[in-house]
Amino acid sequence: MIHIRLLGIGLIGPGLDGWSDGARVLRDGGAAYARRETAIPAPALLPANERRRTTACIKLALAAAEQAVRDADLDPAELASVFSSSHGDMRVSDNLCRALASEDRPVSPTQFHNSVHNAPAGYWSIATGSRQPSTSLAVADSSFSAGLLEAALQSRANGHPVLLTTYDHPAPSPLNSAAPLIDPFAVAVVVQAGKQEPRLRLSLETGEESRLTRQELEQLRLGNPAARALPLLAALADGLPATVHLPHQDRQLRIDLESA
Amino acid sequence: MPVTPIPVTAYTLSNALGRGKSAVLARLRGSDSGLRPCDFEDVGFPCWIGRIPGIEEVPVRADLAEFDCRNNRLAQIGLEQDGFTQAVEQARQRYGRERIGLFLGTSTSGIREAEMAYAHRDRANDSLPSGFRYQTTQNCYSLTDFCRRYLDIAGPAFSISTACSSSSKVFAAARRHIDAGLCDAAVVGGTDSLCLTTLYGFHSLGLIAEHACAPWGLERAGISIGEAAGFALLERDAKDAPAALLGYGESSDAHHMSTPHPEGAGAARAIELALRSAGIPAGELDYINLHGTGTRLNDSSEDRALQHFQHTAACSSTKGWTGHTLGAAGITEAAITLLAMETGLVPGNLGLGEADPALTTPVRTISSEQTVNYAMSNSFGFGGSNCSLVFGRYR
Repeated sequence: MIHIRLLGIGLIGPGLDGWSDGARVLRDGGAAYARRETAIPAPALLPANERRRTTACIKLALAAAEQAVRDADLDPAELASVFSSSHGDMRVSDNLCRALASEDRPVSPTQFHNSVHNAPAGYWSIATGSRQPSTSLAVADSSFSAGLLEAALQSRANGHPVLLTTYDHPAPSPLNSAAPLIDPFAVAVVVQAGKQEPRLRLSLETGEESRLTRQELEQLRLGNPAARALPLLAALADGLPATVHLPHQDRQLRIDLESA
Repeated sequence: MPVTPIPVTAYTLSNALGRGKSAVLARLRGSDSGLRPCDFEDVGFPCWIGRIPGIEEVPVRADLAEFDCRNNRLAQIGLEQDGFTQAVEQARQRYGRERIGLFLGTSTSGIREAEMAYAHRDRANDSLPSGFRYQTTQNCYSLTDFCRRYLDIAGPAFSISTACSSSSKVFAAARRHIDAGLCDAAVVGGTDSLCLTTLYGFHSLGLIAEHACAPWGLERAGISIGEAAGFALLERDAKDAPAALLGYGESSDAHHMSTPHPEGAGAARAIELALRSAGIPAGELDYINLHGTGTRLNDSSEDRALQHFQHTAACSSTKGWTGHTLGAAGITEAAITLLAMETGLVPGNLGLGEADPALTTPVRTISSEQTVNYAMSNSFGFGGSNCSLVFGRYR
């Protein structure tokens, strides 16, 4: 059992533009949900010459990370970071594979360094000047829950807050038929281990994953692995004691929200 | 802050030197590199590679056929050496399958399958062959998913993909999960296999040497890519173990996506944190396995980093033997470091050629016998992700 507090939240999704906007929609009896194309803001922290080299997927991750850090009002350079994504940047994979399947295999250096799973982590480190450690994980549908545990454990080990950013972006054709995702989605949280309230209690157990009652939100939850975080976000938006279960491989990550 | 030593009760490695500890050790005693001129696919530029023969011959276990690809075949080969699967089975019986974690590093997973699928795609309607199984091959989690099922363990598991530090960082992740009581033991390691993505990718950056790599050498001109699989078993406690993980240090460079910090600041930080968490001064180290990729910039920035520490350790890069095994470099070199501790064989820095006078850290040119009680293995990755591990005797 691990106790954490969330110091800041970022959210980028279809019709969910930031945490305060998203919370208004996600809470029980909240505003109507209107799905529209995910608006990915340009990450402000990244210098223009680096920003030019980034892809939509990288921008998605960085913009969510920025929101969480701003919400927490912390210096990003001080935070260790965990990035988790089920699929990574599939547009870059597609570009690379096309290049490799062609006559002279024209692979560009930028394409290649953008193809590594830890590309967003690398850009984040450059943008913030942070020399704190960073890790980049992949865990299929459990990317958020595994990332949250890893961030909690790192915070527990080093005593400082840790930034988690979970993101997934749809692929272009033809990869999209192999890995269908409905919309870009990213959630970022700044995690501090410890028993101060308001706190979340994390544990692993067998059980059923939490579902959302509104069909369109449930579709989003199932349509993008990063959106498996939605039941937690909905419970946070309610601000009441609650228990949610998020998929964690063959089990569930049980999160007990205790009120302030 | 210091961490409790955690026993490494089993480990194994397979790479261009051979399959398993005995084969690798036999080669490390001599001077016959595992690198050869590239004969992989139809790569259109001169380079040397560390290729493992025979991967093409044996598919993955029949019940896991959907995972079949070069990378998972290599993982299977790796798991089957040195009684490793038996060691995991014993741990499974001792603790229960849900109490064994699994943390594996990979940079390219099964991307070779995607490369081939695109090469054979239907150009008319731009569709991929129906046999392409993205989730169980190309996807980054595929390696961990495959090994999880192969070993029948069910504790927390994920793939770490931070380029060259991937299968070094897995040790740190396992340490934290065991400390927190989320599991009682963990399999750590990684696998990376030859593919066009990394060969052409590093080539586009001008980082692939035309000949066998020459880490730390005056004439060094880049990396030679190798493929490898390696695994280690960490347990909360044990009656006996060949070695223990004493500490780890992780950091980022915050410098550039494909160039290390010239002063090695991030690397120095990782080394500093590793020593601090192990509770030993640098002077106690008997052996340091360098990241030593053979690029001009890595080796000079790594050398700068080491200058911050007072030590008398024997040092060598072993990439002249195995090549740079990328996502598997961390575990491959940790395993070589553990071999050095277990057998007293300190491997030489193969491929050095003429030493670079600008590098202040002397390296051992030939393998020799020496007692190694404390050792360090460093992995400083592409994209600026650094990890340093300290190993010692288990008491």
